[in-house]
Amino acid sequence: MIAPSPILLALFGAVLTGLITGGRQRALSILISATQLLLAGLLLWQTSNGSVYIVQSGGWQAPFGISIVLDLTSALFVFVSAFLLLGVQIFSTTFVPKNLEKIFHPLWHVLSLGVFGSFLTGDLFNLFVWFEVMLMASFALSSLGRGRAQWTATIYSVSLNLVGSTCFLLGLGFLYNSTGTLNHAHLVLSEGASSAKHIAAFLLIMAFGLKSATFPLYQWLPASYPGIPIGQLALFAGLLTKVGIYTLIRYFGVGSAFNDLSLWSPMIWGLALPTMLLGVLSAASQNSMRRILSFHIISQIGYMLLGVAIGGVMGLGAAIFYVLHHMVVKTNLFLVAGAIETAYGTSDLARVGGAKKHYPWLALGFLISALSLVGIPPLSGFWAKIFILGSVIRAGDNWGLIVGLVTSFFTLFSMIKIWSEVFLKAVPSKVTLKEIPLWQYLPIGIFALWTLWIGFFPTVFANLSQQASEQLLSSKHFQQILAPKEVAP
Amino acid sequence: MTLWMGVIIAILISAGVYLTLSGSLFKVVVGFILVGHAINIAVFTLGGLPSISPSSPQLSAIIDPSATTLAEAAMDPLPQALVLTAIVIGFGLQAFLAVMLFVMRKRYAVDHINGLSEMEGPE
Repeated sequence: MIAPSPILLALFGAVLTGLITGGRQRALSILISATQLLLAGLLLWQTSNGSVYIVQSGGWQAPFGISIVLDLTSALFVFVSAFLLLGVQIFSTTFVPKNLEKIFHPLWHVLSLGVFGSFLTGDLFNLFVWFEVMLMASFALSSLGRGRAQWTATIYSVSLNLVGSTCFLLGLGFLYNSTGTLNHAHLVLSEGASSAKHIAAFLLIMAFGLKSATFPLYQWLPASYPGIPIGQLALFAGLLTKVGIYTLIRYFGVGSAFNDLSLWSPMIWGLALPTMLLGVLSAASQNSMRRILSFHIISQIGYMLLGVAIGGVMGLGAAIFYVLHHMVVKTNLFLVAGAIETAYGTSDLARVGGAKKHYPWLALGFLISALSLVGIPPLSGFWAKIFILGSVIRAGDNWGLIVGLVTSFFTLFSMIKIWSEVFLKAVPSKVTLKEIPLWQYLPIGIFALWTLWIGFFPTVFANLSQQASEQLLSSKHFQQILAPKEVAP
Repeated sequence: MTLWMGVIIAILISAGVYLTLSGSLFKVVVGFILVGHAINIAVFTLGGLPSISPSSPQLSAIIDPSATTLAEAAMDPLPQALVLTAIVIGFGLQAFLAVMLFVMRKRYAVDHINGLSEMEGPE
């Protein structure tokens, strides 16, 4: 039962935290998240030598039963997600209204249930189900509260995600029609392209692209994200779009999954460049911290897509490393925005200022994350960009290189804008500053230290992501899932 | 039969998309329900329809105990299971949307998808 253990623990957490209330509920909820992180660390350690844990549900062999697969890629993503879920949960307890806390904690664990399920499943229809679990919890979490902006935000994200789910389901129909299977390993090993399979690939790329906010389909993100309460927003920014990227890496990484669908890799490449550029250019014209950071999610998604489009061990490894670095950094930037909102009551650039003088530690936390996002050495973002652009250069893709560098420059521009407006400028008159609670500093500090750690010792995670992408590209890995007994380890 | 299914799917999808784009929140919800049904029928059809007419005597609900393979008229059961799951999930999402519609009408007296963001004044 090793493979589905994070899913079971999340389910356990969701049920258990729903039974009690008050301070005990909060303590139990955080305890379960901490246990989840420990468990995820253990699983990562177990899989780091290349072993794969598989559970065939109901004892049915792979193409017929649903398989839950824990390989290095899923273990890495589960680990970083558990880290984020714990940190943001600690942060959130400082501002979730008391009357909503009762429902907040169970929903939090349902969300983690959906996320872990999406990472661990080895079956595409099962992936659809986990996606819906995750989305349902995220809708409920983003509508918790009474603000009008929040309801508008929720309506937009619900309707656009419904369109995405529709595409996903139709794509699965076409895929089943053309291949007769929805098991990932079985799909990889079966040969033959047909027009129905191409339609399926198109629909699935559209569905995953919509969920990860790529180029033509990203408008829902800036329309809805700025209205969501900041704690939930920090988690959604770091986690939800990255689940979309995870599915693109796993199912559409060039050289893996749909082997015979090389037709679609130029399309992913074609989506990556405008995503990077449009996201960062739109961010430059925004004037609230939330909105700037929301647009930056989109531009950073472009880098990851570029890694997916270049593909191979290098490209996919770089993409995995990039996602792992980015999830923590992006979440931390939103947490800083949340702390600023606690202090000033707003994150509107015109109505804040002087945070460097009044909150020097917060400024340090922001600086580390922001410079890492831009890619200044020796922070984690520098290595992530080196790996992505290195694989781009090796593939001889000049346009990718140019757009990547230009995007980096504009990212720096937006970060300087936030720095000078929020931290350097004098405190605006008629502003009463509030104390930032210690529970908000704690996760920001831990995430910043993590960024520094990856920056100074990148080899650990670089090796793991490289190993993970090698595993994703080896057909032996999939044979093992399909028929565990017949293939020697 | 596949052709007729295609026609039904086309009608449902066009009606659904039309309603979804109309802007009124109530119509948006109904539109999503129609599109959801269309997709369910599409997945069902893509799983393969039985090749004989329903009146054929072969189409018996009970499997002959001596048979070792499925009858010619048997359908692949997996797409049906998938559609069943999709209907349940879709129903949950539609219920959520309907509750949102109800709350928006009651709390803000708004029935337009952009209505909330266009309203003036404090929260």
